Amino acid sequence: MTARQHLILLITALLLVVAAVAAAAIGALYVPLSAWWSMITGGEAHSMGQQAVLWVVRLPRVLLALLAGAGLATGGAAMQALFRNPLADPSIIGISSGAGLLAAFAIVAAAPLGALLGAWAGMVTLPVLAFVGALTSAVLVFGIARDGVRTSVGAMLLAGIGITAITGALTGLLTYTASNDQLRSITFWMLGSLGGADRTAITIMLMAVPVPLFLVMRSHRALNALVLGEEQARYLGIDPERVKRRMIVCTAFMVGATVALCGVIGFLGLVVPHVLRMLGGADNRFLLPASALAGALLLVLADTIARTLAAPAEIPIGVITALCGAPVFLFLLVRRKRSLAL
Amino acid sequence: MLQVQHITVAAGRKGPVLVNDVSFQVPPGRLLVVLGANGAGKSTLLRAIGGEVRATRGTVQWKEKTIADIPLAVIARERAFLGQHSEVPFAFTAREVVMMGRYPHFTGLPSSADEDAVDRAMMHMHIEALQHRPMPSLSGGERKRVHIARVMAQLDNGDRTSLLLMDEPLNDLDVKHQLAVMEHARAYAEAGHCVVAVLHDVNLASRYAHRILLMGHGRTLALGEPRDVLVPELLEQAYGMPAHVLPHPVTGAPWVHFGEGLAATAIDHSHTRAIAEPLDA
Repeated sequence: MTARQHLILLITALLLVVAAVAAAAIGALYVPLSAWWSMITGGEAHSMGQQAVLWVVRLPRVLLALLAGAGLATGGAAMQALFRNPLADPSIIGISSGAGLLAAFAIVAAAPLGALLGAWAGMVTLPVLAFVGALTSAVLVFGIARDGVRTSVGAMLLAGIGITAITGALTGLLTYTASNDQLRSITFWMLGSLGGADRTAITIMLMAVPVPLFLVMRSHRALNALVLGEEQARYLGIDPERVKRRMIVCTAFMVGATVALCGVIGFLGLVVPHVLRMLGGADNRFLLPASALAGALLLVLADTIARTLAAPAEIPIGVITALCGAPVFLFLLVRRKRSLAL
Repeated sequence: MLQVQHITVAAGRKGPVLVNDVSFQVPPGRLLVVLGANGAGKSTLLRAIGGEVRATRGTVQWKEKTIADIPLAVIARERAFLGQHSEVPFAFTAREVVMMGRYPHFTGLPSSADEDAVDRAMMHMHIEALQHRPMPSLSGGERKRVHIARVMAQLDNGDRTSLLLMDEPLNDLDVKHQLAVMEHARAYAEAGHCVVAVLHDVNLASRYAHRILLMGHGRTLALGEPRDVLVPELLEQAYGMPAHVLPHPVTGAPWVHFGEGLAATAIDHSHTRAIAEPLDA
């Protein structure tokens, strides 16, 4: 890695620490660092309210933002390398739309499902079903594009479009039959929120994100070689089928869990790797960890804005990431139109 | 030693036969050039040797082992393939792309030996000055040279006998670099390695090849030394064009001219022969 790449990683990591601490302190109830210190040392300079807010509300939420942001952005970087296309993102293999369909189903069918499974099961139905939807879509897309022993990346792209169209139509049908309250829930979920941060959510994310994140980062050389094309990667001793399988499964876990718990958070997976590539180059040894750090940083910031800007109301986080990310995306598109040959 | 035995490749189960019963050997120290018209099956043959295309019949053996049975990570240290097209869609620098050639040789971080191999390869292809430039900003010929350097770096492995496969390595290159690539290919072969190159330029093949495989419609038309393969009848059969072969005035190697016009032109051969003779002797 170059000195510049090291510097970018260092700065992003430092900003991430500062942002995470600030995010945990800021909110309806301010919890200053002095109160943190007093909590750690067992002092008296903090209220019970501050302690409860920090431990039960803020820290889980910051942790959820960290894990979700890192997973989304790294998943995006992995998909861009896999599809050899700077405009790819995790939704390209149908993860978001598959999760969306089953999440909408969980909301519309909440009453019968709750009656069937009991109250506790009813509560976790949505994330579980959304996760199943994400994985099923990814497996379907991968399976359709698979021709005996090989998987065509172009076919995967088109299969993703097909699956997204079907799940989109079915989600539309569910939306059409939904009651007003259900409709509101569906819409809210589709726009994304980190409001569901609790111990269960953090546990699920800790199971679904760090290991795939590590596996993706470890594949940096294989992803670099894939940029030369699958055949050239083979001649460099890399089995492209194994890399594809690993990337799809890892991304489905990271992004699937995130979408299941937080709803659809757009543009992070697309824009973060893109901007980092412009700043520090395309080498995945740099790009993957940088995406994880920057994705975490941006989602912590976006969530802090989401819950403080219109407090006590909360702006859906997907609205903020889309409003910040889409203009960046369009700017890049206009600037690079020619080189992308669109 | 590369041994290709009765290789046959068909496109799909009932598709046309692209390569039909081709056999040859390349011992260490030898450069074999594959010639033939468009669609003669040259590239398919090369990709069958590389394992990209599955042969319907026949075997490819490398050092007495079936090449397809050697694990990818192992064979990558002694076999490289220069493809016709390698677009790099992201802004990797030239040096990063050449370093990819060293991936089979290290885990973790590249060693100083890997860095040295990259430096040597870039020096051979005259791209040291381009090493920090992003690939999309390079011209077609410069990009080609980066990929050639990558393949050279991959096979820069000391004494271990290696196999270099090149599919039309001279496309996009200017004359100077065409010769540089052919010089390197021949020198690499003579250092004890096996080299197979698909070329379009018959005269460069004549000058640099130890042996030539001339293909037509997927079959072997001729296999042998340039002076035995590059004869008018075989060339006309392969390319469907009238061909004239003269001894090159300086090297004495077969010197091929294609085209109708030349057939009617009387050429005074006495002059060229006079120069060629001392070299022939």
